[in-house]
Amino acid sequence: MRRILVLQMCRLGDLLQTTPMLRGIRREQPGAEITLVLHDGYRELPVPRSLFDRLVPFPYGAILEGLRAEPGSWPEQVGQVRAWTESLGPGTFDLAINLTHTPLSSFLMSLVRARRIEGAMIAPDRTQIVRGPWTAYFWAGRIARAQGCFNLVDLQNWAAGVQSDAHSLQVDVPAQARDSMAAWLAVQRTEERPLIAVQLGASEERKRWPPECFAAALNLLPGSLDVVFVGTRAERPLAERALGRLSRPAFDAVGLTSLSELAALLERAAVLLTNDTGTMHVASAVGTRIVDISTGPAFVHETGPYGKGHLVIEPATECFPCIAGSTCGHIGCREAISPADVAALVLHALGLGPLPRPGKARILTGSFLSNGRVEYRTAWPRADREEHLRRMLARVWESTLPVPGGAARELDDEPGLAAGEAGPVVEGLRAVAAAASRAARHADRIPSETPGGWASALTSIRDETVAMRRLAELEPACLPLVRFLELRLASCADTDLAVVSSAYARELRLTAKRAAMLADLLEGRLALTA
Amino acid sequence: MSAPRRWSGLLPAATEPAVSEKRACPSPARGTAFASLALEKRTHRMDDALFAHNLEALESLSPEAAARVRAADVSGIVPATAASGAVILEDEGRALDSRRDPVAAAERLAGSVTADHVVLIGFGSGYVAEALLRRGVHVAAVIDAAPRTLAAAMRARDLSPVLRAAPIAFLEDLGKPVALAALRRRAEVAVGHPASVQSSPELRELLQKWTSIRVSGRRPRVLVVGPIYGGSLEIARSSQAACRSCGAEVRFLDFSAFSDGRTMFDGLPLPKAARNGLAGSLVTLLGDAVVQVASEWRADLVFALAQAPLGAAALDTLRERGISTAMWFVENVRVLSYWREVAAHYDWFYSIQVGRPLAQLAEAGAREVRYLPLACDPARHQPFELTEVERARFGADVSFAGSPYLNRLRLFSALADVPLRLWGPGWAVDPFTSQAAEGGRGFSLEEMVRIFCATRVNLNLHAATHVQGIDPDPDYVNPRTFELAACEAFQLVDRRDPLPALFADDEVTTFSSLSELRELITYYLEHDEERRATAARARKRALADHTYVHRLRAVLDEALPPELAAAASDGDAIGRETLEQALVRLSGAPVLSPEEAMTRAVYEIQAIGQARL
Repeated sequence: MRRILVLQMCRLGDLLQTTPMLRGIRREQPGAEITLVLHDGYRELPVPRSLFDRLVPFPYGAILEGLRAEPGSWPEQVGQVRAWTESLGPGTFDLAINLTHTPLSSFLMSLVRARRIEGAMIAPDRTQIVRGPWTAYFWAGRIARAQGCFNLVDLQNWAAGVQSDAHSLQVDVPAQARDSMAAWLAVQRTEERPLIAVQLGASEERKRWPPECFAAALNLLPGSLDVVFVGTRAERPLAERALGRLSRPAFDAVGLTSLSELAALLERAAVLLTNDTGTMHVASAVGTRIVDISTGPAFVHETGPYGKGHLVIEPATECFPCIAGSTCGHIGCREAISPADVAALVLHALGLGPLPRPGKARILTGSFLSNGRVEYRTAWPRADREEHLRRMLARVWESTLPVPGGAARELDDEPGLAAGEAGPVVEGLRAVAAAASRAARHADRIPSETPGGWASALTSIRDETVAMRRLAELEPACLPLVRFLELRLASCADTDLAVVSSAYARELRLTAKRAAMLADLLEGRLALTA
Repeated sequence: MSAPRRWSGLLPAATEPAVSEKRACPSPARGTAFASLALEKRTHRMDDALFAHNLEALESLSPEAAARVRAADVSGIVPATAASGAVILEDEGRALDSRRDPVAAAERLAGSVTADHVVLIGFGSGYVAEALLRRGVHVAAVIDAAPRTLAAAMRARDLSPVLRAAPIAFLEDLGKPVALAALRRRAEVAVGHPASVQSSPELRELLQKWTSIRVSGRRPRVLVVGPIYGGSLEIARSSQAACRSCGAEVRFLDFSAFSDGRTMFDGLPLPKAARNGLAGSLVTLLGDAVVQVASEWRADLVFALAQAPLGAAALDTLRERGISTAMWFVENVRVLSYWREVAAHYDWFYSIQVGRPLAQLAEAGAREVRYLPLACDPARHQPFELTEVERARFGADVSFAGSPYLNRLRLFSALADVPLRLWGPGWAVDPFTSQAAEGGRGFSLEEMVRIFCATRVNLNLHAATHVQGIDPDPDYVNPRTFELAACEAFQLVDRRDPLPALFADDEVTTFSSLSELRELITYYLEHDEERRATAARARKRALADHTYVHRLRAVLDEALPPELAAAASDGDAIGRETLEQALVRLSGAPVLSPEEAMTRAVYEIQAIGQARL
């Protein structure tokens, strides 16, 4: 029996986004035993039990409590980590997947005995490395965010080697929770009308459209719609701010629901109006249509609502989305989205109005492609240069990295860019392709060289890589390719000369291929010959 | 010699932290330099001249070790070249430092060290010791198994800076418990040189023993805040070094770079009140920075020097956050007045003056007012062996080094017949043009020490801006008094009220009038031996009683909670090893062990928890 470990130490939304991957492993490897590792803080586990076999909580909260109470008690806390390691069992896992991108999870992965590891870990030489091409893609994307083209859910599926199945996330909704919310709603209203659920909070300020704006948008909706605010107790102050500006009736469920009850309530809503939040992923899992206001670091192409027909409004500002780890002093992107546009988008989602045409924002909608993955495309205004580039990049990645189920056919007919637009980009890409090819030839010759020749070859590879990085700094389209290459080379933790030189040559050749292919696509050549 | 066919990835490892983890991480696993392999080795000629140069340095600090190294047999150890081009040693084919890039590897190890004072166990090719010193870590000692490695390294690399900075000892020297205990008092953390610890069971045992026996309670954290302008910057620097010597963890905020910013407002075409308001805003901003650093670092004490940019609001915030504050006002309260606005907001206020100024501070609301005289810094103020060239340049029968305040102008103008040289900006004016040294330019601290040492009779007239002769309010002793004494330079100083308590009559000679000064100059220029003997006694007294360590020890004893003050004064206190110390210990291992991975996991949780608090 295959044993698979999945380490997921993130928040609710991330946990729900893991459910398609668990479902895929169940579907494609029915005999495998799945061990799921989460924080110990989940009192109510939203992941259906059918998707895993063993749950081994990591004692995160217990350790933190212990350290807060007695900072000198760390030896006892190390003992808790040791006990956790032992609780994983004596055998070796066939596959261990780290879906968390933190040093903590990397250290934990270095403690797991596994034949194959996907994701970040600490190598024996103490360097942090990333195993697996799709996880490396995700890490590279942290630098080149604007060029990101795959949803996290699909990346997780592919990292685990399973196909995306064109179905959404999953969450358990117990019958008791359904009954409870039905009863609560019955008390609130006298007749059943379309219900708009509203989630005001988000994990950080940059992702939070102001509550006053939510109120202004809701005030523009017809009285024939019901509105209910949802959220946690910590989000009450936001609710108070919105309610203070609201000139229409609304139900207030903020802080009243358990996770299951939230899912049950969202199930009954016609639309969820929300920032990029865990609640959004719950709505996705119960099949409720979502209108997502995406600001700051929230980026629909990475973590947008997973599913078909959801609508996303995002600012058409130059600095959007925020680069990972950046700080923002203005949060000006939130002002690009007007309450009138949001109200119109909600009506459109309900089939009660046309698609709005905001002046400073874009509207995107999601759909599943032929290989089962999700894609967001611009509904208003027309697809711009960045979107064309993103689709071409997606085609390049899908053609050169292993995609279970194959590449999406829809990308084959993407037109190239106009000559004036493509010129500088193509020039940069061709230079990257040439540098990568030269470096690959240097890597090829290492096994047959004398020690002195190795040093010279390595210096040449280094120089070419530096040259590629400089090109990427000038032309952002090259950045994801070069950053990915750097991560792959840096994560080559093998110690055998022949193996490492061969891996280097392979990665360098693939980079050359990707750069050349993207250049061809931009010039429209590949599309014509395909 | 054939190179090994085992190697690892050539490019820097993935170092993109998650969004929530953009803080500094002490992990040695972070960010390697672009490393390549040690693919080629070449033998280096044993360089006898280099060895002699290194030996001289070793003898200056560790004479016993030098004797052993001189006699050591280095056969079996050869130099080789790492891929980065750096020279490393190989002992029977085993590299003692990274074959790829020993400098980068040492930097990683040193970067994981959070302690201020360490003992380094194992020397290798010297890169770890160099990296620690570069990062400002005080290496209390380097302990190696035997002298042969060091002897070989001294033939391959210029190690003289390290050998002059860190005492060297060998295991056989540590047989006496006293020696080991003495070392433990000097450093609570031992850092293992990976290859040395790996190859020597004795060193490994010592490393383990160090961390198991040598464990201490938390050391106090002192944030020293320097001035935004004025002459107290050097005192701030000496104070921070003294705090460290007292056993505290120290951070120093040097705000002198903002001096120009402050004066810039003077040039704005605005009413004076508006300009003052802007300057006040700058002080508020910098004060906020102090508050943030102190809070983030969890300082126990903020120790500010005169002209530090700390206003009442910042001081009150620090108090609210449980951080003690102390001001050492190393200025004359009669000259500056801003202390009236802040005195009440400090927990401790130290004045260099006696008498009425102390009462004035209490009247202004200062809670705890103390007299704390100035001092010398033996590391910077010391007798200097001058070359002939230096003696010719800086030497004189009589000198004064300082600024031309009104009383000095008047008094020195009456010494036209004395062979007097005047050092400092502002002296190249009539009638001093011929006496002004080097065109009346400023001088550095290094030059000042040379001037003191090259002069037969140094004049030390305390400044007074409002009188034409000797200061009528002699209620403090200036730093020059202590500095001249520490330099073993003879001085004639105007009589001061607190001076008899600081120096005896035969240690420092005083005058109280111009005529007395003239007589003393004549006398001491004719009595070399008496002059030298007086200066020697002054130095001895200064080192015994008047260093910045003495002063800061008094401050820490008073201003810190008793248990922290004890930890600062008693480096040998027994407590528990901290998590950070454990990480440093574990980081000495050559590869990531399960024990370290588990400890690091706990550390990450602690760090995330602290960030959320």
